[in-house]
Amino acid sequence: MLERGKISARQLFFLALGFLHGNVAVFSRSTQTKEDIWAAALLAGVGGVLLVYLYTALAGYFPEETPSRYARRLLGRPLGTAVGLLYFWHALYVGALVLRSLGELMTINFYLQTPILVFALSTTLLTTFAVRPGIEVPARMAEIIVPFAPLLLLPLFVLLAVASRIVHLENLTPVLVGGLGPVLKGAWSFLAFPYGELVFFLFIFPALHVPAKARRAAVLAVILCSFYLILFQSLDVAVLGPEASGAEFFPSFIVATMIQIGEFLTRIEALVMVLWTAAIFVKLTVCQYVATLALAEALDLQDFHSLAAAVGALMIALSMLIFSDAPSLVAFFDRYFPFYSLPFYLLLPLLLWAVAKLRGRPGNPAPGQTEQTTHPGGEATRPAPPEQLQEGGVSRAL
Amino acid sequence: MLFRLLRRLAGGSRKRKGIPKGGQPPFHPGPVTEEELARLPLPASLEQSVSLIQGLLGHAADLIVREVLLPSTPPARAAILFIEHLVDKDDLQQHILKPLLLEVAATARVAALAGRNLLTRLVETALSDRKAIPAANALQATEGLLDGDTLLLLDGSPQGLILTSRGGEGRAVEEPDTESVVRGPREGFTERLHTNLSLLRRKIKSPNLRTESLRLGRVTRTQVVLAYIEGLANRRIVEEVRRRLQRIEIDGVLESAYVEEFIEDSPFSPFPQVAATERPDRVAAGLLEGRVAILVDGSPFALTVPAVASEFFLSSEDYYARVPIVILVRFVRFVSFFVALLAPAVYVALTTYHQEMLPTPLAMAIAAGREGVPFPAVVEALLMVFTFEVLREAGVRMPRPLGQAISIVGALVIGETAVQAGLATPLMLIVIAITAIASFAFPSPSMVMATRLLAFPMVLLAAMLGIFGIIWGLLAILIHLVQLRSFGIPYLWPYAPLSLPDLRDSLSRLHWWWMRERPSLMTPENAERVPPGQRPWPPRPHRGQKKRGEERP
Repeated sequence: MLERGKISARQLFFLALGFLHGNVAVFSRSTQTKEDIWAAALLAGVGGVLLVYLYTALAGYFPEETPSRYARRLLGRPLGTAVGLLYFWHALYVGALVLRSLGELMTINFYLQTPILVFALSTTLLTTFAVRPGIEVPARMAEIIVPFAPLLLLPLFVLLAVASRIVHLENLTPVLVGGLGPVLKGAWSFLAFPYGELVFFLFIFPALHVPAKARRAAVLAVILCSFYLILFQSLDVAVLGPEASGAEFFPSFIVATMIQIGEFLTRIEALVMVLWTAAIFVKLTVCQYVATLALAEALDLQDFHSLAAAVGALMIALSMLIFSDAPSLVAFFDRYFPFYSLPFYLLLPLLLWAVAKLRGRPGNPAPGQTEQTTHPGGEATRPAPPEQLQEGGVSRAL
Repeated sequence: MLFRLLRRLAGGSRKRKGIPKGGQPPFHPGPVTEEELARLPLPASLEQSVSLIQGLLGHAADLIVREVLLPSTPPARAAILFIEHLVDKDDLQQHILKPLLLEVAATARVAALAGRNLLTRLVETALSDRKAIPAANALQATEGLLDGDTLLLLDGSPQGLILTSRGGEGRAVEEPDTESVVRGPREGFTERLHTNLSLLRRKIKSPNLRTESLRLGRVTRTQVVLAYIEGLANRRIVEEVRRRLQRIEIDGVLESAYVEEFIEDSPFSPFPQVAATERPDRVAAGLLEGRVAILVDGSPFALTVPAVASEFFLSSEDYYARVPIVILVRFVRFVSFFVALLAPAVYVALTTYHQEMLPTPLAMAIAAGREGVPFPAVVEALLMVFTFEVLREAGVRMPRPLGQAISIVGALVIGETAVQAGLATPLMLIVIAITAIASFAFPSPSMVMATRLLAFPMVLLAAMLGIFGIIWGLLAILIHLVQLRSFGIPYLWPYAPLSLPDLRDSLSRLHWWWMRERPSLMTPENAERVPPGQRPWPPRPHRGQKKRGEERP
């Protein structure tokens, strides 16, 4: 494990919540599901919780290692290194997608003449500074940003929308008129993005003080995120109607422009954009961090800090190259991304977990019996010091 | 150097045999270092040691040497040396010279003291009311003299005696100009270390208040005191402060800011990482929370470490005012921080990029105002922010009586006519005025300067990328802040890493009976500040009896 920093379970929760929020609330996701989007989001939330159980079960076998390392022990050196490199690629790719969507959000809605590269470059510059020192910096940033941005102000956004009398709940009816098919399709898409991306946290779980707390924090984040997802996607449909909501690139953004309370409180979309930018920033930071760490560990480097800038540069280049325009980006997310990311978020972790379960680990009780024993070695090899003091790092920083 | 000194000293004594007393040539050793002084013993002969001290001080005009004959049996020759305006003359006369000349004779007859060395006898009897430190080498002797103490030299004794007699002119304890309060103690630190220490001791009468003294500055030899409360302060932090202080090597320390620059964690950060205050109550409060205070002789500003960001948002009056008011006041300060940092940048962003966010009548008014202005909004904003900085700086540096002239020029000429001349819009002036006032709503001058400094890049970022630029800048500041530490304590603590119990005294403050624990990172060993169950209740005969004993969270 190259990462020396330690984060608390609460920081993991905020990190995961900010990460999941990333850009889910921005994109149009209702092209197929239309008015039943809430059901799709609900189903996907259940799937997300199951995914977290899978990831934490896998991480429980190796509380102090990242997948780049333990994949080697499970699958042998060449295959294991390949797994590490695959995750590097996946994190880089998702990071590039997020970066590109941030740029599209900006250039489509605000800065019509500005080249998209400006946003990619400036944002990556920032994330590189945040990633370089290690996980503690993104974790603390999430602790500051997330309570303000998604937790406090986004519900306010919903309230404002309701107060502006633009919400038409009848847009959400009829319920399940198209049968279960579209709902399942929508859930399938939501499962891959955002919940499937939680697979990156396999690289972050080992940095926890008490690895056993990972599951609770991540599950809470998933539940809260699905709540917001349901709220927002339904809000978009309720305000814009099922057809228009599916046709817009950034339906939530259009909703923000429609908010008007009296003559005074109008056009708050720039403020909403501020909140989204902050959440997207958390997501980008996690992607870049995981890409950096996965690469450094797969290649057996001595440290990962100096790689951050290089990974950032790759991410910029990739974000400029992958899509020609916003429609293809949205179409990709909707149609192909669930299939493309399936091996990364489901098949590989499932394979690793199965191999780990079959092999067991010498000297440890069989996993999966109680909550404690799913994390063998976690408490024993690392006596957990008073969490705060350690995170505060009086001991370490002096 | 040392050998030369000794040789010349020895040579001098050899020569003296031939030369009649009073005719000896003055002894000039030239500049000497501390190590040389420390290795230089005081000679036993009175003449030699007096001439050594005189020589070391360069035959200073204000060095007073009085040779006296002590009426002991047998009478002993002695010399009293002091620096004229550093000592308290009355004290010297009453409590050193008088006992020496009058009481020594009486004590000499006490049989029990007969066999003792004269120096010990003096310390135990005639001079028993004050601190007396034996000085064996030239360093101790000269250091004592320069601190304002009196040096007593006895003929035939290879030791001198440093008698404390510090006095001389100094500022009285006054109400400090900064950090003024409506309610609360009015005394402030002065330039004199011992006054400051006594102010602190009077607030904390605990035997556990530790003070450690050290001298910094090769030339100035400034006394620096490290104070903390044993059992409350984090031992690792105390150790670290001590280590950082001892590492300092500089020729002079004229203000506590010198020390601050040597011990802070990130020298290039715009944010202060050491809290400086003129108020003894604030230092005492810091000590009670487990902080370490550093007092520097010659500076009325005491330093407390570790410092976290939220500390710069509070005034000591917050703890003397009622809680509901404090909630409002701290919120106002917090908002004013962002106003001071962002107001000009937001103006630039709104007028340049996001006009649609403004209500239409306001947008029209701004457009009408901007019509005659030849610059883009960013130039206008930078110009006005800069003008304000100039005015403020001039206001601080100008002699007091001229201050009014500055305000007339600033307010009337620049404010009024700049708009008429079409250099700035009225709205811009309002924004600048709000920024200025918001920055004055801050209790900590060093944090104000940080926001002012950062306001410039924020304006530039807003001019380049609008709201996105502002967000970019805020995120950059945040990245910096979450990495910043002060003596190992994260700067944004208790927000990041979040510590819920410590939030009771952060953005707001709760009642004293509710803030039951001391800051958890500073005092890990001894957390409890207030025992539970102290919430006051009105006497209620029926229900109240039961509730009284209940513990509150």
